[in-house]
Amino acid sequence: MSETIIRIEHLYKTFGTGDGKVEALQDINLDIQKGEIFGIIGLSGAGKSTLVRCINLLERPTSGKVTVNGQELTAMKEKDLRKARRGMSMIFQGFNLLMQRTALQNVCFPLELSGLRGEKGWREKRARELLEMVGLPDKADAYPVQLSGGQKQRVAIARSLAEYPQPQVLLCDEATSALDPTTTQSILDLLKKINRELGVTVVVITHEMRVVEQICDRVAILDHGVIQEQGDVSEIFSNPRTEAGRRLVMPGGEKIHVLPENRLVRIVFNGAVASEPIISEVGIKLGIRLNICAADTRTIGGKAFGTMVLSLPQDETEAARALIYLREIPGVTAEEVTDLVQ
Amino acid sequence: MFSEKNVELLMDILHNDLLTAIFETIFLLTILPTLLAFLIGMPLGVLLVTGDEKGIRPLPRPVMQVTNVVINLLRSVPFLILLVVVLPLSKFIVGTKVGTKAIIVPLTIAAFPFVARLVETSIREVDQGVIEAAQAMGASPMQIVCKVLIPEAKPSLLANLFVALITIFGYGAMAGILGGGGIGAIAINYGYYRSKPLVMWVMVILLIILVQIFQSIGDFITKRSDKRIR
Repeated sequence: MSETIIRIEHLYKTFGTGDGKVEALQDINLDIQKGEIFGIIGLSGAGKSTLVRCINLLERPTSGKVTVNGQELTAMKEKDLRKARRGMSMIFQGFNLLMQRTALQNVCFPLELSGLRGEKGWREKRARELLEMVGLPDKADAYPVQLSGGQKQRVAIARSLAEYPQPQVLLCDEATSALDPTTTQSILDLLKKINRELGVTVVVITHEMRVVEQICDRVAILDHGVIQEQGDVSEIFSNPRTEAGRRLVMPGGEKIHVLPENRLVRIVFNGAVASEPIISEVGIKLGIRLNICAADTRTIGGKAFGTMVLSLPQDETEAARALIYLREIPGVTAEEVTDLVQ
Repeated sequence: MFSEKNVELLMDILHNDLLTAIFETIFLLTILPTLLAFLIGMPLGVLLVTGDEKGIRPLPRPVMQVTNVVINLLRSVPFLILLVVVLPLSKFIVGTKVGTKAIIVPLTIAAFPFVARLVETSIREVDQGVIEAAQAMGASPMQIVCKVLIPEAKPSLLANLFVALITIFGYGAMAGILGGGGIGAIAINYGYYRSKPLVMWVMVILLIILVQIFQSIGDFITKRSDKRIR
C-alpha cells in the first residue's frame, strides 16, 4: 500500500532577486503515497499554489528534487517534461475551461494534444463516458458559459481524467474554493469516488479545514513557505503541535480575554468517545461546575477531536479535583493554561 | 452643383466607371491588402505575446525590443508619406509603380504593423488560467498557439479583422491621390482636381454605405462566433 508516488526533497523556490527577493518555499520535504488523498493546507500567501505548481513543474523550483512515479522531473528537459505531465493532471479554482469549446470538446482536448488525432470517434466515446461518470451526460453540447460553477468543475474533472492512459495523479488547486457549500460537498464526493474507484492519487490544496477533514487521509500544514507539520488528518486535528496548526484547526479561536481570578484548563479531545457527556459528568459526579470559555470540536468517525477551554472553579481543592478527573478520561488530555489562550 | 451638365457627368460616371471602381475598392484596395496584412501581422502579433518575458516561449529581449521598435516606427509614419516612399518598391514586387495594383504594396506595409498590434491585444485577452491548464496537460508552445490562443481569441480576432478592414478601406480611398483607383480616386479626381462637388459627394456617400455594410457583416460574424454569449 505505501508506495511513494510523489517525492519532494529539499525543495526551495525563490522569486525575484536582490531586495525584492521572496522565499516562497523553503526546504519542503514530502512523500505522497500511491492511492491516498493528501491535503496541503495553509492560509492565503502560504505558498500552497506555488508548491502544487512545483509538483508538475509549471513552476521550476529554485533547488531541490521532485520525483513523480519514479521519474525525476527536476532533471528533465522541457520536451520530456511535457510527456511526463500527461501522467498527472490538474484542476483549478477558476475551472479554466476553453470557453469556445463545448463540454465534450473540452474533455477531448487532452486527447487531441497527445496526438490521437485520427480517432475522433474513439475520443468522443471516451469523453462521453467520462461526462457520464462525473454526472453530466446531458451537458455534452453545452458551452461553459451555460454551466454552473459546480458543473464547470465536473467538466474540468472529466477533462483531467481523459488522457490515455489515465493520469495517476490529480492535483487540485483550491478546486472547491469558488463553490458554495452544497456544491463543494458534491465535488468532494466526486473526488473521493475517483480516488476509490480509479485509484487516482489526489493532492488537494486548500485553505478550508472542512475540505481536508472530509476527504484527506494525510495533511501537511504550510505556513510562510515552510511545512510546519504533517501527518494523519485525525492526529493533526486532535493535537496540532504548532502555532500555524492551531490557527488553522481552531479558526476564530484567537485571543480570549479571561477573568484573571479563574484558572483555565485546555482539554484536547484525542479520540474520546463522542457520545460520552464528559463535561456534565464532572458536574454530576464531582458536583463541580465548569464553564466552557471556548470550544472547537468535531466528530470524525464517532470520535471527538478538537479542543475546549474550561474555566475551573475558584475554590482551589475543587479545581484540583476537576483537573485530576479530566486527566483520567481516556482519549482526553488536559493542561492548565496560564496566559491568554492561543 | 445640380446643373444639368453636372448631373449628366455624374450619370456618365455611374454608368461607365462605377462597377470597376466598386470592384477595385472592395477587392484590390480593401480585402486583398487586409489578407496580406494579416498574413504578416498575425504571426507577428502572436509572437509579441508568446515571446514576451512572461509568455509561453520567451524570446531574447533584444529580439522583442527590435520588433517593437520596427512596428512603432512603421506605425508612426503618416500613410501618405509611406505611400510616396514605398511606391518605388512596388516596381520590384508587382512590376509597376502606378495604378491600383501598385498601391497594394504600400497598403500592406502600412497595415501589417497595425494588424500585429490588434492581434497582440486579442491574444493577450486569453485567460492565463486556460493557458496554464493546457501547459499542465503537456501542451507544447505550438499547440497552445494553435489550439488555445487563436481559437479562444477568435471572436476578438474577427472583430479586429473588421476594424483593420475598415481602416485599410480608408487608406485605400486616400491612395486615389497618387494614382490608385476605386471610388476614392473618382471622388478626389472630380471633386478636388476638377471641382465637381456633386460627383465627390455621391462617391463619399457610397463610401459611407460600404463602411456600414462592412461593419454590419463584422458585427454579425463576431457575435455568431462567440460562444461566451448565450
